[in-house]
Amino acid sequence: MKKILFLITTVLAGGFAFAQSASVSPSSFTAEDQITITFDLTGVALGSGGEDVYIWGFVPGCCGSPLNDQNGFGWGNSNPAAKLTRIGTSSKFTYTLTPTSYMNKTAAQIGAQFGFLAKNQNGSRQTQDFTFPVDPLTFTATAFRPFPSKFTQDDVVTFFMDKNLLNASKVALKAATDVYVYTDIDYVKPDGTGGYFQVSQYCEPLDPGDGNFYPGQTTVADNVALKAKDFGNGLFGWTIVPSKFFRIGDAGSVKFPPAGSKITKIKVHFRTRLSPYCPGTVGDSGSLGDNFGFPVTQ
Amino acid sequence: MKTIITTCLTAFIVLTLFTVSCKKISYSDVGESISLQKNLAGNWKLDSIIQFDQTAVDKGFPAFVQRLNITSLFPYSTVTVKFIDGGSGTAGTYAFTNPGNAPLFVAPSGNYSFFDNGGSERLKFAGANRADSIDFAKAYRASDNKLALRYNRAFFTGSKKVFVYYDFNFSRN
Repeated sequence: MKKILFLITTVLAGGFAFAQSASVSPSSFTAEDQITITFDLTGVALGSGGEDVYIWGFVPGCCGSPLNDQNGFGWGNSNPAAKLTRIGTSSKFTYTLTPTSYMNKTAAQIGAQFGFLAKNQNGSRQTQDFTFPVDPLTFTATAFRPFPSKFTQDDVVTFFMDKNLLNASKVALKAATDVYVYTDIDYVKPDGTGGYFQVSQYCEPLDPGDGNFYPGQTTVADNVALKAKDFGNGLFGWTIVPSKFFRIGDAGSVKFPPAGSKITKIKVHFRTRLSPYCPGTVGDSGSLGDNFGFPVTQ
Repeated sequence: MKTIITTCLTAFIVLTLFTVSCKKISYSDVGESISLQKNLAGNWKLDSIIQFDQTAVDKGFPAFVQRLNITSLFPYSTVTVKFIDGGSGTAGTYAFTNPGNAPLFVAPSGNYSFFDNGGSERLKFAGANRADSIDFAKAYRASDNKLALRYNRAFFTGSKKVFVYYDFNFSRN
C-alpha cells in the first residue's frame, strides 16, 4: 500500500513540476485581432536540446488550420511556416497570428473558441490541447448607415437613418413623420475627368438659373422618389439602384453622367420635406441629417 | 457468496450486451432524389428576394445588419421566369417577365446552362449583352415546387470575394 501511495505521489508531483503552459496576448481578443501565443515548455522533453517546435491550430468541433497540412505537410512533417520562435535560449516559444487569416475562416465560422497545441517536427512529442475563448465582433449602431456596407453602383442599396440615435439637437428631423433626402454624387467619366450631379434642388422654389439645373428637375420637396420609407420604430430608409437613380448614360440632359461613368461617392442628407435652411420654409437649424458621403465599390 | 455475485453480474452484463447489440436500428426513409435539372424547367413566380451583406454575415453581426428583405421595395411581385429545357436536360432558354422593371442583375432573357463549379452545380445565364453565374441557394425536391437562386456580387482581386448576394425565392407558377 505504501508503495502505491508513493508511486501516485511521485507521478502527480512530476506532472505539476513539469506542467506545460500556454498563454495568449492580449488575453481578450476577437477573431480579427492579432495575437501572440507563448508556450512555456520548461521541464518537458518537447523543445529541449534545441529541438524546433511547431504550432498545430484548430477550431474545436470544426477543423484545423490549412497551415497544418497544406502543400503536403502534416502531423508527421510540420510546415516550416508553423515553426515557433524560441525566446533566446529559454524553453519559451512564441507564435503570432490572426485567427481569421490563420484559419482561413470568417469570425462567424470560428465562433467562440480557438485551440492549438505545440509539437515537434515529426509529431512524436506534443503538448496537450489549449483552447482560449474568442470574443464576438460587436456591431456598433450609428444614426446613419448604408445596407449593404459595401455595394457597387449597380446594386440595390438602402441608406438608413435611425431617429433614435440622432443628436438631440435635430429637433425637427426627430419629430418629422415624412423624411426626405437631398442627394448628389461625385463621379468619374470614362475619359477620367470628374463630374458632379444633383438630382433635385435643395431649396424651394425651383431655380432655373442654378448651375446644376436641368429640364424636368424638381426640388426635393416635390420629388416623391426622394422620400424615405418608414421601416418602423424610428428607422427610415431610402432605397435606390445608384446607376439608374443617378441617370448614368441617360441622354436626356448634358447634366446627367455620361454612359460608362463610375460613381465614387454618394452624399445623402436626411431632412424634413421642406428645406430647413431656405427662406420661407419651416424647420430649424438641427433638421438636417449629417453631411456625409458613402464610397461606392468599383 | 462471492462466486454467486460474480456469476450474477457476469450474466447481467452478457444479457445486456446481447439485448442492446441485437436491437434493430431504424433509419428514416430515404427521401425523393433531388434533380436540379429536372426541377428547373417550367414557370416560376418570384415570392421574395433577400439581400445579404456578406461582411456582416462573416462577422456574425445581428440579423438586421446581415440581411434585408427587399421584395416590397421594388415591383418584384410581378416577376416571373420561364425555363425551357433544350432537350439535353442541362441547357435551354430562359425568359423573365418583369413589367415593373425591378432590378434583376441578369439579362432578361437568353440561354441557360448547368456547369460544375468543382463541387456544386451552378447556372450560367447568357443574354445578349452579358453573362452571369448563378448559384442554387437551396436544393429543393422537385415535389416541393420551390426554386431558390443566388446572385453574388464579388471582388476579383486575385481571388473571388463575395461582398453582397441576393437570394431569389420562387414557387412554381
